Amino acid sequence: MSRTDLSLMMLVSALLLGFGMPTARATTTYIVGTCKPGTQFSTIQSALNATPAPTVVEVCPGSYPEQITISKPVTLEGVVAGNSSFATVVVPPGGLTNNTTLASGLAAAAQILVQNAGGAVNLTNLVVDETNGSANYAVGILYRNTPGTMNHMVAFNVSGETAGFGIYLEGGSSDPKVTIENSTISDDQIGISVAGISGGNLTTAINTSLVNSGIIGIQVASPNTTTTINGNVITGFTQTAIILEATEGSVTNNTITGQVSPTQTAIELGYDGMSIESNKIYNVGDGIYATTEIINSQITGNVFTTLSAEGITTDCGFAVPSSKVHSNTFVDVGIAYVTKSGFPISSSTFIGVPVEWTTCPQ
Amino acid sequence: MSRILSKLMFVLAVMSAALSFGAAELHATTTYIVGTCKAGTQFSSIQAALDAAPSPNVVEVCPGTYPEQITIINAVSIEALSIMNSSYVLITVPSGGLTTNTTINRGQTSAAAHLFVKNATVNLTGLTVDSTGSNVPTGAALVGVLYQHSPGTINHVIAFHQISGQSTGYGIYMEGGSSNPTVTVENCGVYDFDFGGIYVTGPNGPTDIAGPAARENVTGQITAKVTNNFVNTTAAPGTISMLFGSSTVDTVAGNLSAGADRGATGMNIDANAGSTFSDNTIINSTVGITLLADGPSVTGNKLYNDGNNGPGAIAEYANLTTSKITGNLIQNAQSDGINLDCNTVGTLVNSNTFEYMTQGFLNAPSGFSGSGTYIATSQDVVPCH
Repeated sequence: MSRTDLSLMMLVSALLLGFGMPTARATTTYIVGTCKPGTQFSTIQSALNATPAPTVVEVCPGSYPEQITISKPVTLEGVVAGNSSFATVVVPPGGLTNNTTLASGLAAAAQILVQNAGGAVNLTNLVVDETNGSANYAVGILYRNTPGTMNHMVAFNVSGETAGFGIYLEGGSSDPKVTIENSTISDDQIGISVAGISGGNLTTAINTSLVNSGIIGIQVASPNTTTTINGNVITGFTQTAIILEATEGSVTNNTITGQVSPTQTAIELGYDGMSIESNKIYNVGDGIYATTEIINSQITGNVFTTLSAEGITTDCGFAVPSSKVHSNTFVDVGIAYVTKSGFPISSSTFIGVPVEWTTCPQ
Repeated sequence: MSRILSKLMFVLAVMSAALSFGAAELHATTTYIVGTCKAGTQFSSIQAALDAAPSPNVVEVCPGTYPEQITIINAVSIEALSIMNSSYVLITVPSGGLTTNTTINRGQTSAAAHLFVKNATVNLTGLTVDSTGSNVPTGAALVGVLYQHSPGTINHVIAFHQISGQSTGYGIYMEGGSSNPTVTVENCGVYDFDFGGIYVTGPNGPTDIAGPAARENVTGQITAKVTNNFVNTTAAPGTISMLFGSSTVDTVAGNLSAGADRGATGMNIDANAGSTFSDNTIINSTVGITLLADGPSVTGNKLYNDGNNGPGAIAEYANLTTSKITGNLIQNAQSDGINLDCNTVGTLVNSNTFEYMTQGFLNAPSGFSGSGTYIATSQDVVPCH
């Protein structure tokens, strides 16, 4: 073997080793519980805090009384073992303590706090159950300035003395993108809250989830948020299914069904910009209630069935462009459109509607 | 010359045929107007238009309120008009209430049908039937829209407040017979009833719902397509959002059953083989789907928040050799996902997803091997004891 050949082999070996090390780091997996072999921990937080930092934490079925903070990239997932897939984070015996301050300046207790991780934090197949939690502002899962995906998550029974949020998302300087999909957000005061901050953008996708929460299903605030809400089932709310106070994003293909109360509103549009298209809205008081001039928002292709009050009500101070609000279907709705005078209704469909269009109260 | 004559005769024949078709078409478009919103032969009530001679093929109804109990015995289409800023054709109870005008349930139960279709092909579009103040006699059923031995399409019809006060109120009820009528119910809304939302039954009525019985007709006595309807259930225990009884062959897809409380059953299924129940969404039911007979397939449905104090989001009460229960999503069930009630199901129950509940399968038979996806489920499979 020549000296050149030897050098080449050493170089290749070094390269392989070099590649091998990051690969090894990429698969540092810890187990919480005893259902699987591996490096085991008894709590989720202790696994997250271990050295080297894990890239994957697999959580055995069981109940984990913890308040968890995640500040590094990681994938945290519940696993199916034996005859169960139920990994639940519950309130610790001493109750919840405030562990963060929301962008609004309010102190809050988050059961799972994900902040400034510097990379993606992915959560899968976990239940966050805040039954018996006590806090002024309670949060099930809080993401701050961190990208990631929450898939098949459950945020259950989050209720604060002032407010409780199943999932609460804040942006940050890293311009994170957060996805919530296939999840169950149930029995919380407010299901999902998307809160923008001035220091960075937040892009959020909320897809194919069940939001079954007490007062408000989903609320989206400005500034600097882009939110898409698609294919969800939203029910169980007493006030409003979706509140939109942002300018970027869309609400599409959702099913919203109320619970008899005529005071319920399906979607409140507070800012111009987000589009509301192809949703199915059943059994509420008001369908879409806009309190802003509509210039960019598109409200089309929605179907409203059995509404005791009004289908689409727009801000009385502004004319509604027919190029932006059209092609909606109203079945069994008290009044289909309430707008400033002169709005054309010919492009929509009305069935069993006593009043298809009326002008705003002046 | 003979060629010219032949051609002339051919032309005459064609003209004659055209005239015949024209006459038939003329008859096919006998249209009456109820109300005064549109020019034509006008009537003040829907029943008066239906009873007029010649019998109408189309009755167009102006927006307005019509306090009537209507019986339809001839083929006709009744359509609500959208005109002058309204499309609200509201059929209400006449003063004095509704009278019993037929029997249902194998002839055992007298019924007051608010809009009664009997032995005729009838299409209804855009009508709202409000049975408030029906005042039905004790022991009688109240039905918003009743199709008895009648084919047709019920499209965009709203039936509400079928409350008899005796737990015998139904929104839309279809009963078949030996003629095996085909009925389509689509885009309708049914709510505020005190027993059943949408019912499809054979001639033996829903009492056969306890399972295959000697009375059941295996060939099917009504063929129903029930799609894209909304049934809003009430809190009253024992109510049923949708029922598909014995001797029926049904295609049921894209419907939504939802309500405030978990008082009602979403779908009660005792239908014949060949029936399919797919892509329906059922929210807040005591039991989402109850399958009582082997034969129908239950696939791709979404069930949310179901099962409170009930036997399961899906309760399966028959030994299966034909039915498939596959691809359903059961989310946030209040107890168990699919209760197999110890029946033999082979591999016909598989590929369902269970998300957030106490038990995925309950009462699974010995050797049950149905695959499933389990997410946040305390016990994936609980065997039969």
